[in-house]
Amino acid sequence: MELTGIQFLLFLCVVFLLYFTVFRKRQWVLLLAASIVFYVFAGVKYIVFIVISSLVTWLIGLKIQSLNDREKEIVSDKTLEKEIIKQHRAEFLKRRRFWMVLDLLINLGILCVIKYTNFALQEVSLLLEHFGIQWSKSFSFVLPLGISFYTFMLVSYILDLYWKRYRAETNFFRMLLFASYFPHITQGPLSRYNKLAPQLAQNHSFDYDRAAKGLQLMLWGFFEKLVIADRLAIFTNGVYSRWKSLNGLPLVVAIIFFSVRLYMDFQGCMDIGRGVSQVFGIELELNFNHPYFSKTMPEFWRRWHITLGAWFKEYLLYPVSMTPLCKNLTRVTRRKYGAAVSRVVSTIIPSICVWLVTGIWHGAAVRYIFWGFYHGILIIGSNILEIPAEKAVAAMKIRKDTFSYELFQMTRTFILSAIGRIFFFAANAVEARAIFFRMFNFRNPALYTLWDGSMYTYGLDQYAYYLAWLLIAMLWGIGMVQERGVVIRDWIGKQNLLFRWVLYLLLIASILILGVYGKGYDASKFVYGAF
Amino acid sequence: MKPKAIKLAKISGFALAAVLMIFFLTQLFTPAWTGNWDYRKSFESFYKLEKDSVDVLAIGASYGGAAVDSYQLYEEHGYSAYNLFSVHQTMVGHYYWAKEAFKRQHPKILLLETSYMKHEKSQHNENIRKSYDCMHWGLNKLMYAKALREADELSSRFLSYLFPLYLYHTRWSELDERDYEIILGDVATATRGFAMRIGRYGTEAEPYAGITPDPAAAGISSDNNRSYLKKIIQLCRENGTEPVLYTTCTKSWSPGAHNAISEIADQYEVAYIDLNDSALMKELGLDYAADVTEDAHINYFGAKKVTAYLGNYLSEHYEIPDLRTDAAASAEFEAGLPGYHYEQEKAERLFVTDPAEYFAETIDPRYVVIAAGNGFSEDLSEEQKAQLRTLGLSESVIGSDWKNSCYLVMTGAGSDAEQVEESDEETYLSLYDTLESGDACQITVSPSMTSVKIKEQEYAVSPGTLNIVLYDTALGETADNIALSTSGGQFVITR
Repeated sequence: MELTGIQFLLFLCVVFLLYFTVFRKRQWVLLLAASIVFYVFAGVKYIVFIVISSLVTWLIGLKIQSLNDREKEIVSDKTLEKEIIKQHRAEFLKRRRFWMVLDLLINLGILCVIKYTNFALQEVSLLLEHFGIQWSKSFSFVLPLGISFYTFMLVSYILDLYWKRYRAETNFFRMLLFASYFPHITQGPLSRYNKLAPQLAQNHSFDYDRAAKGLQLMLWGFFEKLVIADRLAIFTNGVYSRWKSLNGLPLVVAIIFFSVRLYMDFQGCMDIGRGVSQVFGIELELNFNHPYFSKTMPEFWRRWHITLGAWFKEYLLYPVSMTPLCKNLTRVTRRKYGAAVSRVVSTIIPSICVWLVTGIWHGAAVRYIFWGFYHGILIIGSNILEIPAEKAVAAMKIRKDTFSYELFQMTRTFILSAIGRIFFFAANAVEARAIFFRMFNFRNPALYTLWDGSMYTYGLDQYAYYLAWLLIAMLWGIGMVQERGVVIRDWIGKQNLLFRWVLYLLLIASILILGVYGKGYDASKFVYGAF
Repeated sequence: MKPKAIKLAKISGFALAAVLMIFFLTQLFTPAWTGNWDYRKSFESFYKLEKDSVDVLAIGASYGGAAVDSYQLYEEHGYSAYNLFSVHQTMVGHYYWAKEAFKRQHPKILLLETSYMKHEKSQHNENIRKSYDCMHWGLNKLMYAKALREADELSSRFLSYLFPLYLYHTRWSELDERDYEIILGDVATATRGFAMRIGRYGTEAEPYAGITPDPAAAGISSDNNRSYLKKIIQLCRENGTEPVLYTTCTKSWSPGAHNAISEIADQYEVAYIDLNDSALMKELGLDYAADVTEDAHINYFGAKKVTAYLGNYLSEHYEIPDLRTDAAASAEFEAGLPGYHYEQEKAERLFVTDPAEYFAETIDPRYVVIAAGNGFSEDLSEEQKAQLRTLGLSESVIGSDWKNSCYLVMTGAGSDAEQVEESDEETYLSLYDTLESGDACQITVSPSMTSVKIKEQEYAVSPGTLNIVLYDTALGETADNIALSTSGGQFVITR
């Protein structure tokens, strides 16, 4: 069931109605039922995976909780000596770790088997071919809906329990709801259990203003997805289908469009999910914060897919940086080269781990690993060059507190992130490399494509092409306003009723007219001889 | 007012505004269905007729649209008639449009063209949209959509029938004045639904002379078609209207197709006129080569014969008011006659291929005459030059070297341009102008290419000869476009 489809809208109408009427005292039950129905639409047989993952996590969570409780009971016994308490703690830690690792093995194991088996087999096959051995094997796995997201959410739950951050969920069905909650199952955000679960469990009465805001957000999400993202996709797909015969400008435009498309696709679905949740009375976390206004790559990754970045930071970066290897490395470099250098060096190994896993998480292909490394190098490089760059800017007497400098930084960051997008645009790493060199073919930059009309041959006619640029400019303008601290939805809320209605109706009209949906009118199909 | 009630009122008000907006957008984005025929204008014009003002209503597919001349029925018998047809409309469409018509009209006679009875399977295709989209929203339209869905070819597109924006929203970049005209209510048509068809089938070795009815032949038609024909007949009787069935002549007709209709006609005691009956064709003087177009539609001249026959038949068998005796009732028709006659002139001109006939009179002063292209292969005779004078071309153009020149000439109705140059490799003539009607005109001529574009529409017939375009600045449309060449001292007209 697509979030922008008619089926989903009808589904939502029914769920909204039941949520605030028949199920108003048991709203979480309806949400669970609705989430299961939503999931079943993606494929009945795949629901077994999310149920198994949730069940295993729930059972292991209860086990870890019982160990935590037992440990607390024992260590609070003031009659015991410190040494005994220490021994108990170590014993409980060992047992908690066992169950935690077991859960990770099961959940991450399911994810890896389904998502990465064929990739691994393919790489083995290529390697063997290198040695003259012909061998290949593959399995026809189909990814269950949202497996990457719910697996990470369940893993974060277990790790939080392991670290005794909160108590375990005692109701399996509430656990299942946390994993399968339909507004966020397809594209996130990656919610934390302690933030989402209490909201899911609570009953929320209908609030007109909250519902209105939720619907506004949904409307905006539809606009982002149907009008902007899907329109840009037509162009990027058109260029991609002919990239082997293109150089320079068309590819550059395609990558720019692709970058915006990816953002709008993600953000649009996110806003729809957040809007739906807001109507329910549930606040999902923000996942994007105008990432293309970032001035540095580290800032970009604090604004892009925020919850994924936070997840990796909390559950991978910090734990890796706290390993004995990293701690020793930090200590040695601090002693030899000073605090500044050791600060940078101490982030290298954890960053490499994070970016390797981030790349793999995005897809089972070598190009995603390259993409992960690319961004890892940018982050590490940014850390290394931070101080020398500051000194250079100061030496050249460049004023940093100006719009022009900010614009330079934002443009630079956008270009760097857009180059990374080539790995997503292309089908494989070899293609990505070829596209990169074609894009920056300075001997044939194809600037003439600006005026020879060929830009209108990649799927968008002249009007649609300029509309695409207009939409990007509009997004930039809105982003600039929001960067200055204006919360546009609040500003709209303060305007008079007629103004607000006109704005909403214009938005609805824009979606209905400019949205990429439906079969589309093809004039040639309606030609009938002389009549 | 209680806060809850205020919020409810706000929600209802916004919902209503949204629905109205969607309705407006649907009306705007649904195509005007122009081209060779202004479907939406024709149907909208019917909706705007005064209630119960039509006495003879013709319904059918394009075969019927080309056969029954509403104004001819008025001129010869004083009947208030309207031809409500749509291309490729099937029996299903005929039924629902009859139902739709009966909401505001209760004609004495329903003339139903029945060519589509012959199909054994559903013949719905994309063109059915023209029939569907032109119907106003209401329960009848929803039932029509349901009936179309039951015809298997269209079930996958059902959503677009309930929500036309689903299909037509992509037209945003091609909306033009034709779409806005419909919204603004400009739905005037000059022929009360009758579509004058131009062209002739032409002679062949064994010309079609009709069929000989054979009562023994098994009726050929689908159960669905038979069912809908019966429903139409019953619907007419319920509304006090007498149905008269007729079929225009077409080579693909057969005794079996005839019998499928005549069986039902006999069962319900309904008149059935089969113009494929060879005896009837002889009686009417219908010549398939001259009175039918290449695509089996009765042409302008054939329609005169068919309408005359049908009009006489109706006057002999039914009591239908003669509006000519009532000045008030006939006022609308009298006011419309000049426009109708102008359409007749245009249609008759389009049949003319004899240059003596074509250039018999001076061109109507409201026309802009565009002459663009290359000259002729031989010198012009004085007779030919005299013929060109009727176009309003200047003496300098007429006296030029027609064998070796390129021409770009515009004259009449406020337009004046003359470019005549010796034809060589580098000759290139061009003109961008705005006509008196406000329409953009772009003409380019070279020895190998001629283009005459008005409102982005190409009218040049042939690149290598002289193209003549007659543009009516009053109506903002082309009256005729031909290519002129010479042979044996005479002009040859090509379309």
